[in-house]
Amino acid sequence: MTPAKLDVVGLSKYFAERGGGARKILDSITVSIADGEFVSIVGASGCGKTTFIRCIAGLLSAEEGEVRIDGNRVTRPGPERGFVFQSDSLMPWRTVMQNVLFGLEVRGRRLSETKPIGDKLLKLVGLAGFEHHYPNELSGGMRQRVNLARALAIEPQVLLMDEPFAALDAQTREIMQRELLKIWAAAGKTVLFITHQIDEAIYLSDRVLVFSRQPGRIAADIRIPFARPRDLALKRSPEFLKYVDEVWKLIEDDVISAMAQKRSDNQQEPG
Amino acid sequence: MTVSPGAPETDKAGSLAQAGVAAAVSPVMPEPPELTLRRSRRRAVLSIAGGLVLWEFVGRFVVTNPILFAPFSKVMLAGWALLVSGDLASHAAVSALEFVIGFGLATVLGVALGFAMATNRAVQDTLDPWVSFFYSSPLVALIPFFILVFGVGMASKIAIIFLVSIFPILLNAFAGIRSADENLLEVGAAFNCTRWQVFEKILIPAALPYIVVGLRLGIGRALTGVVVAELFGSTAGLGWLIGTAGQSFDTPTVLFGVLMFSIFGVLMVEGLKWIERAIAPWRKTSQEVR
Repeated sequence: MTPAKLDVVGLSKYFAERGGGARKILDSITVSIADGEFVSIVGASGCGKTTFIRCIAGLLSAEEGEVRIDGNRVTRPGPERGFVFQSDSLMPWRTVMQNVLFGLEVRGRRLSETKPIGDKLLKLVGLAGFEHHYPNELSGGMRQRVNLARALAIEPQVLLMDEPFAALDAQTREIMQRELLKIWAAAGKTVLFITHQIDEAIYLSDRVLVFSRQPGRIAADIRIPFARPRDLALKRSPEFLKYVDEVWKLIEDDVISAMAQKRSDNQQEPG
Repeated sequence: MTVSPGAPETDKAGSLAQAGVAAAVSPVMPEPPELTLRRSRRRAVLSIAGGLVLWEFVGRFVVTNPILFAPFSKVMLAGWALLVSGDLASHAAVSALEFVIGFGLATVLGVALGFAMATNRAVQDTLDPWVSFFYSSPLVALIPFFILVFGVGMASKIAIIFLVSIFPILLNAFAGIRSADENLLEVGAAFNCTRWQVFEKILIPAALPYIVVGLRLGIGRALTGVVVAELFGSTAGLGWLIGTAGQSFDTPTVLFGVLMFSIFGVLMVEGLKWIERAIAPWRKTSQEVR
């Protein structure tokens, strides 16, 4: 058995409520992710999946439990974890190259030594020749490529991706999924990927963790056996759809109750 | 491939007919942007020329009382006389120096205080009521007081210019830091930025457009400060020149002085735009803030 790259043990997270008291968002989550594994988390909105990945990144601190990388406990953000944000979060005043090298720059690395790293990464994500462009000159898909390259630049062992393709149109999203698998195969990183799209999770992953909501728990841990490299056509195969169906059945009730809750919230607080 | 003998003929006729239709509809192509730009420049120049002609006309034929108004040509002659005598240079230098010192101090201190308020809750809570109070007060009313305290020289003018221009600069610097994108701050956290790095690499660039707006507002207020302070009590400066000319019914000189202030203001604002473009090239494609 390969040793775990990322270990989460008994992680619980609470949010303070108005008027005192605390609500449990994550309920003692324990999961182990092997080196080089691609694991996705799906769940209805409000299942705490974004909170979970933020705890692992060290952007939030959990009240109970711990996160270990290679057996070492981590509580703050660190260079062994790269975070790919949902909104591209590029700095509009930095060129593509300057954005990619941001993480290295804040660690005191000189541009003369990091420039070759940037060139290599831009080539990897398919943006060679765009290094001097500003983010507002790029499309949404291109900006997410820069976002990914920026996370890869610090040479993390674990890549944490929080719904990185959520804001993209359906066609761009498909292309980006295929590209991500290529990059993942080339870079050999451990990936934890959050999404609310079931087919995206299954297409990309070795394992899909299905979260249930209120509080967030792992309802199922499903191994996806399809051979790699995977073609986009796989998504139309009956075997693939069987997995989609299985995951959908697990979260269907959650999705409906989440919608009902949202409706009643809206009635209580109009606007 | 078999082509009937008549085919080329009809083909030709068909394409001709199509060409004819195309010519009749004649789609209007969008014009290149540089053409639009050239036309709006031409209109602006024509507008200015027309305004000057109208000024001249009104000054010569409509308002003929020389105390009430003066045509453009007479105003220019008055300006020429000031230029030749050297008065223009010496008075403009006094006003410019007051402006540069007062506005410079306001910029440095305003930006610094705005940043301090935006990054430190205690500083914000302490200064906020005072900033609100002074920002809404008509501070030029303090001019008599400042003249009593600092005298009729440059010091009282610098004080009033500083005071009227610091608050818009301060408030915009504050708003600029506060408006920094939450997502970018999270990027800073994820990449383990130190507090100083967050400030230097995220907050300051995010605040820059706001600071420019604050400076632009400050320029307008500072110019008003120069004029009013010099009119009220001074021994030199363009405002003094306007005041004394007015007392001797020298309307052309009054108008020339006002024109000088306007041109100075326009130059300052254009200079600011130029600086903004130089230090913030990523904004070249974004719209101008007014």
